[in-house]
Amino acid sequence: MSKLKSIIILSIIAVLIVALAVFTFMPLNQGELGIYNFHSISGYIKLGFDLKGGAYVVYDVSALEGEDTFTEANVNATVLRLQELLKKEGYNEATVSVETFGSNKRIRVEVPDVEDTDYLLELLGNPAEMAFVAQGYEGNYKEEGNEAYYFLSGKDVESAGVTLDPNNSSYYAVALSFNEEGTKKFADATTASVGKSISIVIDGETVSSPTVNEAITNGQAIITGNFTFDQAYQLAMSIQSGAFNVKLDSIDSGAVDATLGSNALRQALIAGAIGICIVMIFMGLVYRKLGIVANIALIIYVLLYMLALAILPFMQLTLPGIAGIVLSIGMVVDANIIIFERMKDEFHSNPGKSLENTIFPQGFKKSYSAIIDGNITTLLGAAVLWIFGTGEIIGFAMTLIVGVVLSFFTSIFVTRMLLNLILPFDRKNYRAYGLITREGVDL
Amino acid sequence: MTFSLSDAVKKYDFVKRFWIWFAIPLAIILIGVIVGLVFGPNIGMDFTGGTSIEINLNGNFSEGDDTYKAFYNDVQEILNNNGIDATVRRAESNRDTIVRIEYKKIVDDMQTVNAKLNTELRGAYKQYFTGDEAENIKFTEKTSPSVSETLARAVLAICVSAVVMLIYICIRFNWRSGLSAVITLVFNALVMIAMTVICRIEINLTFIAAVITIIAYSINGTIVIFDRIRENLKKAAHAEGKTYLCDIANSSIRSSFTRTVFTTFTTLVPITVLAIIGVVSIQEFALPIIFGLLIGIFSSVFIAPALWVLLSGEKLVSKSNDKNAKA
Repeated sequence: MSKLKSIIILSIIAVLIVALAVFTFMPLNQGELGIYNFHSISGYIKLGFDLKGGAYVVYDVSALEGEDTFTEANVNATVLRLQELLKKEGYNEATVSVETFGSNKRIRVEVPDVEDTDYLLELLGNPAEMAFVAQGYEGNYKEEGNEAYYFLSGKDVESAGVTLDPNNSSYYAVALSFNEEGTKKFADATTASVGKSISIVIDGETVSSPTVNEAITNGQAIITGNFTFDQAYQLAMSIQSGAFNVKLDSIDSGAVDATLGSNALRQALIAGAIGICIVMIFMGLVYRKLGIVANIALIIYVLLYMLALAILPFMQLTLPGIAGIVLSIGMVVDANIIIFERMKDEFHSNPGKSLENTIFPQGFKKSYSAIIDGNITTLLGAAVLWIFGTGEIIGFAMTLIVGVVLSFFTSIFVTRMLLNLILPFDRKNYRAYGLITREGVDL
Repeated sequence: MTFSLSDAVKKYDFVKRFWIWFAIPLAIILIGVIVGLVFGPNIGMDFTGGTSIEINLNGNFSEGDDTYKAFYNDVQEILNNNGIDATVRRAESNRDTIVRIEYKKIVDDMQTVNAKLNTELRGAYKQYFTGDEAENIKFTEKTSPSVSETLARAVLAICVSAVVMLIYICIRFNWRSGLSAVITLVFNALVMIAMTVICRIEINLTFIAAVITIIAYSINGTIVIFDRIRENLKKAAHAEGKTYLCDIANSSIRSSFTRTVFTTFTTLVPITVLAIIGVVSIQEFALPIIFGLLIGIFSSVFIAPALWVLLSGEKLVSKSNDKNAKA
């Protein structure tokens, strides 16, 4: 590669780096970038809720009344329902995840940016168990020692809302809409119960017992009970949140302060920057030109990392995640050190050989195995953490995984490319490349 | 003027005094056990379960507000009188100021303790704030069938990660390297735990994550050296005369010493800075990792290779070594 070509490519790379750096860290406002109001790329990084603050609820999952077990599909349907419910209430950034403990399952709901745990818990914390009971009608569940049969439960409900009480317009009522299966069940039951009453039972208490005049086939039902608007709304929300395919018991809930998080983030960033600077000085002193190459590669790595964090949809930055980033940076530098030490070995066993043709390529080739081993073991560790971990720890595992994958790419391609680019300027000076000293720093 | 590690390292016999080096982590583990038994390890709420109390002050009070400060002090006093070591935090919701208290389970039956606390807190609340004290003070138990499960799961995760590393090294190298690497790993984990107990750092789920991370990370240092050993073994197969495994181990350690030290150093520096500057919760995570890195490099050099030699059935000192020692 000629010097000219090198200069051109290096300049392009320099411009790209600066541009990426600017886009990553500086928000640009309307005027500067034309139409768009662009937050910096780093502004798009989703903060885990231990950094942002918010509320969380953890549920234990068990089978609904009258069923023995629940299936994977039930759990997934419940997760979707919860997500819809949260979105409907305006919590767009809430996350719902499933945790498995052997044969037990748990559902964890994290809602960042909400201080009022009370409201959230009311929304989610008291899923009402609803059942429709008909006397003498054979449904899918019979309560012991009772003539009554439950033939419909919360999971047959598509939606619940508030409407005016049809019998008395000064009161409100809850309007239920059943899904396909529920509609059929309801039609069958009402057909069989014409002239009799059907009781609506919520959390074990009979709320109302209307008489069935005719079969209801359109899948709509109204629960009346002389409710005020608030009462009707509460009930509708409870039914809606209780309309899950599994039974949810809240076993843990709480809130995290936001201020704790933003301090932590700021300090961690400062610490990270200082750490990186020290490492870069070290590399420059010990490995000279090679070190400078490694430092540039490190800068590119950090920028790419920020980009990945912002772009990947499932990435959330948690507090341990910051430690994960720091470790990943350590790994990238490690990989470069391994390569450079190999190059030194090559040089010492074949002094005088060409940098371009022998020493550099051999150095790379012989260090692949060690780098790959190192990265794979870290990846395996992160995988274990991902599988067994919860909440924050999964955030940490993800930052490690992203870090490892990126470091593969950076230490093998980027370092090599940069080396090839600076070679034309100096093909022979072994000392300038830091290859002469055996160990330690040559002062 | 050159400062060179190589002169010091070139002649040093890393493998010979294995039993002495081995005693050091052993001693640390022992101290850790003693401290743990005497003072009790500082086990976090993830494992013990606990209670959290949320007190809604029914209005907006700034941190400097006198009423708020007085109430806050009362709360602290109540907690102290009941012998409860709790974290007390303040939060702002849209309308109201909220005081949050969290503490671990201290006795098996927290009912009486919590009931007493409840009464006292209500009393204090009535003095300063309007609003129904019963409604505004909320107790939540972090229930514990989950707790023993959590512990079991954590231990399982650690074991799984160790086994995974074992399998990986057995595939990439051989079973002797695998076994010596994993024994070293187990030692690293135990030393990490011991040092964390000695320093009274809270043991939470994030600590377990740190242990697993170190298991995955510190094995790299060991791999570097075993990689060299493998290379040197190949060379030795073509060489004349008998080669002793302990000599191979030593020369492998020597030639990769720089690499081992530098790579650990460059990882240690950013994490140390993080531990110095970071908030407490980051420190709780960073410090155990630092312990792990330190014991990791120590054991990669002084423990794993020697174990490998022993497992291969050879002695730690060869005849040729002995001759040099005399001279």
